[in-house]
Amino acid sequence: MESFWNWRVIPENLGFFAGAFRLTLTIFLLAWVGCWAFAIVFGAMRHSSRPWLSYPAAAIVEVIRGTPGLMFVVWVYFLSQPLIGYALSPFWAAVWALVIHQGAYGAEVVRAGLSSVPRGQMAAGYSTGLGYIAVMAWIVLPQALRNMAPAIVNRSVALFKNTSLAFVIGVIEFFRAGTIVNGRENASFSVFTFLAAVYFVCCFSLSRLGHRLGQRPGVIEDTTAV
Amino acid sequence: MRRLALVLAALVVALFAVPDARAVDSVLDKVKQRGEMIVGVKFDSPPMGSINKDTGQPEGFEVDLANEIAKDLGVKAKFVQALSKTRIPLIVNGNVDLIIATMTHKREREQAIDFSMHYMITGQRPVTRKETGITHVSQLAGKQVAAVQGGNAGPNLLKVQPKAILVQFQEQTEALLALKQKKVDALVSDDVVNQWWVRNNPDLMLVGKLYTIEPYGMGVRQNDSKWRNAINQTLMEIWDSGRYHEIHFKWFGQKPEFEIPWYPK
Amino acid sequence: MFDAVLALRRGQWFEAPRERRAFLLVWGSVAALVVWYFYFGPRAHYDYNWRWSVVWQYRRFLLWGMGTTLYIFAWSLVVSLVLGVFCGIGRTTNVRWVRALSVGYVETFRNIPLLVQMWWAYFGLQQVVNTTLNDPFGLRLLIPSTFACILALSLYTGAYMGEVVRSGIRSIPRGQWEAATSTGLSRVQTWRHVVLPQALVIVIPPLTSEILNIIKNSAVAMTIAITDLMFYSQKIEEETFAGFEAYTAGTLLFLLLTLVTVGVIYLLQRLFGLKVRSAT
Repeated sequence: MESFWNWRVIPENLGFFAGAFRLTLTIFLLAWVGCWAFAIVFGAMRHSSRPWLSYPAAAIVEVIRGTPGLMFVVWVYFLSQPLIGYALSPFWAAVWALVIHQGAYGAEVVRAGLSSVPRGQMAAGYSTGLGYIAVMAWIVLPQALRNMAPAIVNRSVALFKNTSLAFVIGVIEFFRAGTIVNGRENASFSVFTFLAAVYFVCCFSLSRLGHRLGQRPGVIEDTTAV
Repeated sequence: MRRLALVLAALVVALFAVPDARAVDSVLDKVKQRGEMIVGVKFDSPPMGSINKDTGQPEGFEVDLANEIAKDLGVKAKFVQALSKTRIPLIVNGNVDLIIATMTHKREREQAIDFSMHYMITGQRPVTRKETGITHVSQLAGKQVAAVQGGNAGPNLLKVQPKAILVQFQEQTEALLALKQKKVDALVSDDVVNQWWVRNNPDLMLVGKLYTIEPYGMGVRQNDSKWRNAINQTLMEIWDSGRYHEIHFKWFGQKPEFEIPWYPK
Repeated sequence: MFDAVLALRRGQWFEAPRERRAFLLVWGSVAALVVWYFYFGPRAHYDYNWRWSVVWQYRRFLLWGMGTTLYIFAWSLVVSLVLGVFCGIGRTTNVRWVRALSVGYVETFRNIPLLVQMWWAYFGLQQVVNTTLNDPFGLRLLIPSTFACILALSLYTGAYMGEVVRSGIRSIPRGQWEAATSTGLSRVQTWRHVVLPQALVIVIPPLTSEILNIIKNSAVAMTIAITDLMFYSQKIEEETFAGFEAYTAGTLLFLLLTLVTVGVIYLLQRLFGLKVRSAT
């Protein structure tokens, strides 16, 4: 009787898994930077008191948030050539798709963070003669960041989990490495338990950090899935 | 407010200043200029295209063929995964230059892309586990049969056995796993891959005779004769020089039983 | 987005004509630019004829896809709500092992990607079932893909809903509990009649957002051979080679589903005479 306890598969393919995990980390780090850049821009637009900035930004953010992440990855990969005239490789298509999709969620976090800073701060900043960007960068954002920290960590965990979506366009990241080994070896239980364990360790440690940061007053909770 | 207007104006100018990506150049020129040819191959269909266990790199009959073509053109080949359902969009959208991914040359596919000459001829039939005792396609009525989404294995089966229930996966390897895990009773795919599965899995067997003819063609962009001619001529060179036979022998253990279409210089 | 529409209805849009003009000018010109770029601009003729009629031609594909998605959505909604409520109660109870179990459940299923959970449920569980049960009477226990999908989706969303419910329960003042016990209600009765109704109403906004996430997350079901909306969008693209149109149709239908869900929840709130809380 064959056993499903086929753990031999993991050490045999460890090099393959390690390489794929490195790729996942790369995608995660690149997308993290882009995602928060996008989030700051759109979050600030949403927060703005000028309705001709905030309503359209809200519309864009809501449309992106209402689309499944998988759909976004497929969109960006296949339609990059007709839309921007340049064919993105699967790796970069995945990164950009994650940047835009998770960035929209991040924009909501940023908006909540900016709202948590009293408006008086901005007024004080203007009164000392600083322009909008300077006020945002030096006065409002640093304070907002402290409040947003656990929500940022939660979003980053979600971003890490969503890197697995890149597998549909052929990027050999960690999840796809698992499916390749799975198809080859028929050791589904061990492979997927291993994948789950690794993802769990990474995400759990990140979220523990967020929990520690969230113990202070005034923080914003963002526990949404996706 | 004025600064904002300036920024918007700059964006508008930038949009139009970027050079026109309309494809007037042949892919051949672009490939030669880049020094690299992006080829879409299968990563899930041994022996045609799969991922090597130890190196994590693509390998297979089609991969070797692509490398030979690249060598003759004087460029390097870079491999990207092509799933059955993504291979045509990859060419149409310009993500790859060439597709060598067990793609059958079909007349309806010519609406979207152009094909090179046939580089292999095979057929389709189901594969099943020995214990099911299925020996003919007619016994598949009402049974669940795995196929890959986007390929024509599924639709072709429905033409011979309309009562089969198709379960469509993203990749061949998943379909095979579903077969081994008894989730489905049979799997339909191209015979080159079937023979490999059966040879490496003693509990599987082939069902009946081939019921279609599948000539494989390489996919290229439409209306690009320069590129298509280059590919065809390179293919004939590879055949003439005997390299095709070497590669075929390496992966199939025998000489090819067909001749590729050929014309003199 | 829905509350933006509500605000418009209440007439809270731009009062000052100058702001209105600025809005229309800026975004109207952006929209015009986008349209011009796609239809007449330099990249418009990249061998791409716009064929929107295929969407109408293949509408039955889209309908079948929506049907499957709705089926998965309905089942996952029910199961994950139940799981979420029990988990939320478990997180706030005083019984040590129940609390530990709930925390364990939430942490485990929130920190593993949904894809991994689905594939584990479909392939991994099947292997366990195959090898341990070993066909006692020639019966084959098959794990159909919809079951695996609903299982994974419910467990995943249930963990998030548990957190949401927990925060709702915690926001109920202690006084409510004490008042309930002083009028002689048992623990179970307190939960049923005092705490839970209030808690669930308070957390309607984040709960709505989790419910919408079920719809969006169900798109990954396509990878385990479920013929949902995502699958059929791709199928239309395979048959017609009209990628942009097919994916736009799929995206719009997903958006429609989310809008309808938000609308239904809004209507339910009005129906029960509750103060309408807009979704986050």
